[in-house]
Amino acid sequence: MEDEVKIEMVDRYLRNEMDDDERASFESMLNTDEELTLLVDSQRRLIDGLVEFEARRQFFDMLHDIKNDPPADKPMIDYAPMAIEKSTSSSAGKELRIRNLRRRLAYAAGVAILVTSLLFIFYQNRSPGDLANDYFVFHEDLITDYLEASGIATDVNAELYPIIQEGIKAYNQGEYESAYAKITEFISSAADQNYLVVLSHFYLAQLAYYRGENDKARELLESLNQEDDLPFSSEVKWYLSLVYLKDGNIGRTRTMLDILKSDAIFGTKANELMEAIEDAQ
Amino acid sequence: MNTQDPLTLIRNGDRAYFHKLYHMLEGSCRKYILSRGGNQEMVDEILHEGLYRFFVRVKEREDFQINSSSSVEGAIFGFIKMVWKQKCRSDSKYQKIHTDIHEQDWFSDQLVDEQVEHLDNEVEIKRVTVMNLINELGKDCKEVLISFYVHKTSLQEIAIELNFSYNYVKLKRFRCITQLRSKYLKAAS
Repeated sequence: MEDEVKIEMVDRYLRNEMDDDERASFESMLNTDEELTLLVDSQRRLIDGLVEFEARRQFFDMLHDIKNDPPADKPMIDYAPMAIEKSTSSSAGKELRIRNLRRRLAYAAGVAILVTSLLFIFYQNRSPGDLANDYFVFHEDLITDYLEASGIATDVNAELYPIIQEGIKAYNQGEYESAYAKITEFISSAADQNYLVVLSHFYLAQLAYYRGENDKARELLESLNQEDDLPFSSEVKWYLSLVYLKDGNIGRTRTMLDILKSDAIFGTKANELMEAIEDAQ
Repeated sequence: MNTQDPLTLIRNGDRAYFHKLYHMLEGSCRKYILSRGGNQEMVDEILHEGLYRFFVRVKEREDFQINSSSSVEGAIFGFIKMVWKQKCRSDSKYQKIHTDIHEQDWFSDQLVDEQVEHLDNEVEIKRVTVMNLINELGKDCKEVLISFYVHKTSLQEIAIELNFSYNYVKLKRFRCITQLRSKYLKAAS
């Protein structure tokens, strides 16, 4: 029997399209033809796979739609640009709109000039260290979410969790000396350099900067900067740029900021700081 | 609280109920993945896959029940964690992420929800193999095979829908299913 005819028959059998006589004859063939039996078995498996594939695709399409359909109390932020109002009114109306637009643009230009001048005057008198401090802000806490979500009792450092929890709690409450002490204790007691320890180094570096221990901050951040594929690598580079700036090392600062200038999170700040440094020179 | 009604809704693929579940779980899933070094793309991938696997499990087992101490959300989160761990083991994109879960811990009862099983039986492995092979088929092959075998559309109707000749679609169906079988038998051997 030709392959194509065989497949047709197997498909008709599996789709229950055979009448009783045909089915009986086919099943009789199955009893004696092992190759045909294997064909039926593999075809059944492939059809089941196709059914599941399609069901999965439809399920994922549903989830995709749900994702883009937030509940009423959590509306999606619409980033679409405002639609340009199309008007069919008279030319007088059009002229008025143009005049209003010109007035608004002129106003905006005036404000921009004023702000730029003030910034110029402000930054001209700032030292690198002052500039670095102006831009320094403690990073939001990533450790608490990690600790809450992990619940890993078998982590090698699990018994040290209370120490790091106290440390990050102090950090969040602005008790930076206490935070520094606790995070230092956690790191020095940790048995393994796992992700939590790496993350703790990041916060210790910020606390060291805050305490004026620039050498320590630099050492910690440079070490983190060597780690491959850190999820917070941009953050590390940003704080490292501030540390270099505080050191007065403009060259290294520029190198870091140059890397960050097209970063999604730090790009704007990096460009801004770069300009402030140029203005201050 | 009776957790059987939610299972019926899940079994039926109730969109409204999945909408509620999705938006309840999204936040905790994001926290879980991002705090382990993942990104938003991974959050979506893991959440969708976790929900899908839970849906399949509930659908396939009429006697599936949730422990009295758990909730539906908790049970699904177990699947989400399982998918995350499997991805970290097998997907190169995930393997670059730092994790403090040691290899042996992935098999620990403390970490793996008792209702969640690994892909360790032959039937499950064959199923995943077939799905992967279907995914690798060309667009036309997928369309013809899914229309014919899943939606039970006639070859004539498929030909009209895809703007092909009947003979072309008939030949296409034969070639595509033969190609799929050939790859399947090769993978299974």
